[in-house]
Amino acid sequence: MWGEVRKCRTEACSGPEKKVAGYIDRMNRTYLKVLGFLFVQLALLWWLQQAFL
Amino acid sequence: MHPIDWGVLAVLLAWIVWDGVKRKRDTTGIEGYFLANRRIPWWAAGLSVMATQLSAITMIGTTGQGYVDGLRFVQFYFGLPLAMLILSVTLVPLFYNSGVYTAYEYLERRFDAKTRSFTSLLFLLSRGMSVGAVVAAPAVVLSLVFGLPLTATALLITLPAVVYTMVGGVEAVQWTDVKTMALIVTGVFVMIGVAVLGLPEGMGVTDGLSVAAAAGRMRVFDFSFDLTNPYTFWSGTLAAVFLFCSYFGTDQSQVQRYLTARSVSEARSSLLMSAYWKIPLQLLVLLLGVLVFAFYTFNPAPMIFSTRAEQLVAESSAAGTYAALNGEYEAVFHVRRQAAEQLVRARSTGDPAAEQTARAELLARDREVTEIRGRAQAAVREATGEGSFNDVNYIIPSFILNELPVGLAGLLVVAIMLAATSTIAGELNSLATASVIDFYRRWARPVGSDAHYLTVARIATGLWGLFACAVAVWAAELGSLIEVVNRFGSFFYGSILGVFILAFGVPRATGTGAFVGLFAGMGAVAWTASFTPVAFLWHNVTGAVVVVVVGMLVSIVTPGAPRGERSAHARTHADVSIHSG
Repeated sequence: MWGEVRKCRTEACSGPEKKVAGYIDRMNRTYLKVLGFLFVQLALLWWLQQAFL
Repeated sequence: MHPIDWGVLAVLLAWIVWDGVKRKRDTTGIEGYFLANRRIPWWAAGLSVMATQLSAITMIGTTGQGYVDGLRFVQFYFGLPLAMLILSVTLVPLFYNSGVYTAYEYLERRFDAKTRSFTSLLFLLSRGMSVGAVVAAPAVVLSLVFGLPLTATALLITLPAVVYTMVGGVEAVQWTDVKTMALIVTGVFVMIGVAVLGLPEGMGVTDGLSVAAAAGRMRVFDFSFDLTNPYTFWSGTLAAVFLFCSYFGTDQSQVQRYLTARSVSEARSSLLMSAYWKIPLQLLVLLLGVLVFAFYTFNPAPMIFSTRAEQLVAESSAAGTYAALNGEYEAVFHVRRQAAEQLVRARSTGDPAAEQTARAELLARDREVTEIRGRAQAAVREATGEGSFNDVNYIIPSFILNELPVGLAGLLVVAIMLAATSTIAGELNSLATASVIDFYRRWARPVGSDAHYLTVARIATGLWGLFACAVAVWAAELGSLIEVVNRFGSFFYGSILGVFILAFGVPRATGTGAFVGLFAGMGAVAWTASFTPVAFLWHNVTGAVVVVVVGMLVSIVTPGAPRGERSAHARTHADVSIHSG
């Protein structure tokens, strides 16, 4: 699966390869957003705690 | 309650039941009844996932915990987004694409019938018992709010759920959950508004939070690595991942919610909604408790928030001691209020030294108040014989009834009731699904018409509803046993997760390996719980790890069917013979 992603990033690809690569890229973006949001939440909670201590 | 509040309660309950019952038109077959014909939008499925997990215990217990202990409990949810990511990649596409009705159905395809039936049985046992506890905890509190007997209150909470779940199936459950979530979130914001507006003139949210912080209620993070403490950063981010993976990935009450989505992508999105919003929602609920604490620092608060408990003590031989304790409480309460006012003044004048002094004074006086409240609760326990009495669950209902205007109080009581109702409905529906699909259709009648299975599904929902009512009344009478029943599930969660890890991640794992591993995991958890002080969250890690290790070892020495080979009896809704009746 990662092979398709790498290939489509460096050279032209089409059909199933493009579809799989696009799908993986989209999922990665979604998961990174979730992780990013988690870290933002933890940072805000830390700030909230420190602001009132 | 005021007659207007009763009116609000009656109208909202009738609306919820009517709205659920009318979904009957879409449930003409078991796919409609159990999976809503897979046409629920992702956001509704996501809200349903959140509503099923958010029970009345959250509304009254977690807010009360915020009042007593502050924001610390939010750490418990730090692992939830990570668990959701893991499930989105692993089990969600697996379940959705295999077209199963229950998570356990997949285990027969991968392993064998005994592993499927046993894990499904464990689900039925633990969920069947916990559905009673879900009713019992709020029923004890709401019976005092309503002035009704405990049995009548338990029935008032359970019957609406039984009616609309039995008639409308999972679609009724999920659309009711959407409304319930809207009502609960609105209710929490309303209560926060009332708590803030009730602070003395000139004081705002930050003043209230400063007062709460000085009393230790704003501490979120605890980085100590203490296996006996369930609420630390490490238990929340490491051990809780196992719990949430198990709950959202292998518990039918949750799996069924996202199996109703339109596609695997939407099923993922519905789970990821919790990944984004669970921590903020839980923080909001805890903040409500913290702000109610600030409110009751400046406004008169009873020593014990249960008027019934106070009455019972007043009628007992401990009445004199209790009255003396109350006098002591009022004196310290007054001094704590002065310290809080001093702190707010020091903050507004920007005097750090005065602020520091006021903080120390407030913390010391708050500890005294807590200590006196502890003694008062001990007096109640002694006078009433209720060994587990604690007024944490009475704080928010007391705030609602005494501080909210007529009408709004009714709305908030309905929100608490519906939080219980929606959880019960989700559990009844999943219990009926597992009973019919994993047992009735698997063992008793493998071939039958769609109409026949639909009738059996409705009967199963009704029977589980009756069972829930009976367990609720029994559990409520037993008091402290509610907690025991609640912890019953934690014995199995980690071990069941271990079986699914073997199924998904270990190609060499065999049915015998998984089955033996499951028993070994449960045994390890039972031993850990009985003979070590390790906190319950870590039991999930113990169970999962032992199942995987033992399962792998047993798989090496036992021959098994290669992965992918289907058992002769394994069938899904796609290939079972259904004769439309």
